Amino acid sequence: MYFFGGVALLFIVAPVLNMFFSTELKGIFDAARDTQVKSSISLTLGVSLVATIICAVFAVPLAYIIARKTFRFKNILLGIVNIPIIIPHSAAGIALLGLVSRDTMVGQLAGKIGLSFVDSPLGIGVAMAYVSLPFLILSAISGFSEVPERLEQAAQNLGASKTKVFFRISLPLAKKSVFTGMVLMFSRGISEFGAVIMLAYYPTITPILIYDRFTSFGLAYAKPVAAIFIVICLVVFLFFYLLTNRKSK
Amino acid sequence: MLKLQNISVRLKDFNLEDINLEIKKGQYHVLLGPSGSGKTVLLNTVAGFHKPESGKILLNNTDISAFPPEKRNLSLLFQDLALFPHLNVYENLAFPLKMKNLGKPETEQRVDKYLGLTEISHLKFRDISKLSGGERQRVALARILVAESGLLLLDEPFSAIDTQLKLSFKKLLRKISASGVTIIHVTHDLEESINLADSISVIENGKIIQSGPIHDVLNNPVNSFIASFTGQRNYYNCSGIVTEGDSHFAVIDAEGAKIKIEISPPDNSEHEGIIIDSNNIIISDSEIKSSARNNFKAKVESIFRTRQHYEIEVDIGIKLWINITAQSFVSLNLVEGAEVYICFKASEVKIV
Repeated sequence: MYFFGGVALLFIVAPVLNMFFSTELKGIFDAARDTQVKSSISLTLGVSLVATIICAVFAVPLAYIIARKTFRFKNILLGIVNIPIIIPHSAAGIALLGLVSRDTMVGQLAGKIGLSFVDSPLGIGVAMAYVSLPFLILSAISGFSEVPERLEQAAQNLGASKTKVFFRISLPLAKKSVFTGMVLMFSRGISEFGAVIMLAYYPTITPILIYDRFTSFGLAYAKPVAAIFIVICLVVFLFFYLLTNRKSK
Repeated sequence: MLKLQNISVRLKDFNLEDINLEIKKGQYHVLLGPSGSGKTVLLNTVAGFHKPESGKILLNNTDISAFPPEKRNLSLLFQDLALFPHLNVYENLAFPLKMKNLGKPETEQRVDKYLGLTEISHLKFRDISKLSGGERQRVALARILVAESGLLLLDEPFSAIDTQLKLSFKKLLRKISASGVTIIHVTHDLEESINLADSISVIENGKIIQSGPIHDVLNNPVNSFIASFTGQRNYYNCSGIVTEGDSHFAVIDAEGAKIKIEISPPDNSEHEGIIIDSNNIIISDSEIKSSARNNFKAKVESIFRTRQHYEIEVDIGIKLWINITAQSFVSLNLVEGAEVYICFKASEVKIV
């Protein structure tokens, strides 16, 4: 039992540890000072953060409706929410490109107000959001489902409208799950490659930069950037994890 | 105050049928019924959580049937209390006042008043998770009182507290009722009803079977369900009434035999059964001659001691329960299996 479990754990940890031990410290410091690396990291983190916050405004009410209401085709709706998880991300990127590229109606409409989905932070955000949104919705659904409906009825009986019930009872009680969902969405967003590369090779986010360095200069040049990015992902995840647990206390 | 007119509610697996009820201002009304009889559904319908298929709910002469729950201006104490776990005691009590946009000083004053009335001022800033069962009950009650709606709906308010707490909580409810608040209290417990109610409705299978002042309902049950539910143990279905000379007899089917119980002259309406009050049956260790028209030789089947008296079950072809005092029990030296004589007057037999 322990042996098999250990193998699974080793499978996860080994590549990461190997990369740290086989990458020269000097290479990591050089990469950390590299302007292109620094700007790609801040772009990746920034776009994913903004995409997560904007999506939360729409996804949280959707999750609440799915958790609370009983209606026909609810399972189909849940299936639709899961589509971005099921399909290959490169295919998701192609599908998005087909919808928002410059020669489509959406692309042309966006162009009229000076926006472009292709090779722009907007395109990066759309691609990141598309593949990571289900994590937020599913986590929020589970959070809202755990809030006893009885508490919402009690609030209504005490004079709260449905909107006030949502903001004063349901959302505060489901906040841990909603926040966890946002962290998962953000984390999934910053590591996205397949969908983003279809929509926006430039400006370069870090996963694409790693790929670019690898194909142009080889493994030795890609490794330091990958190592830095892994550390950043872990630190960000740890930070939010601790914040979530502190909030729930 | 509150009038329910022909209320019918259809749920997936339960229906409320043609409920009519009128409760006056300041009245303490108990809805008594067994589990699954529809008491809570009725309360939730009044509170606006179930939509009636037909009928009207009038509160102070306003039809509130179509109002959403938050606009009904009545307060419901849920059986599981439904305290908000993310708010402390003060915040829970202040919640209904915030919803009314009351100012901070007035909110604080009102919360303090009801914390005082329910004797939990010392818990003002405590977390809900740190309260005992009795404290939670008082916080929940204070929270519905603070809204000062004038109509309280209490759903099994004693279900989660022990006997000692029940007593102090009953006193508190009496105090609140005496201050002019109208209360509808749902319970399956007869003792609770007797302790608190001015009036009572007995509900079974989604229908109100009998309604009226508590003593009327207890003393004049309209059918066997109410008789048994209100503690009348000597209820017997009556297969017919026969007249022999000047005497009238209710015929009770016993196992393989028919027992005739003499009764007062019946009226012409349909009769479902008879009730013989356990307190009005005389038990003796020897045959006695008296004016009582019903005299039987009986065998003591079982003996139960209660807080107030002894309950003796005897067999006269049908099982009959007799209540006697502890002194009578000792002087008669009753044991199970003993042969005894019992008698009761024809006028003590109620025909229902």
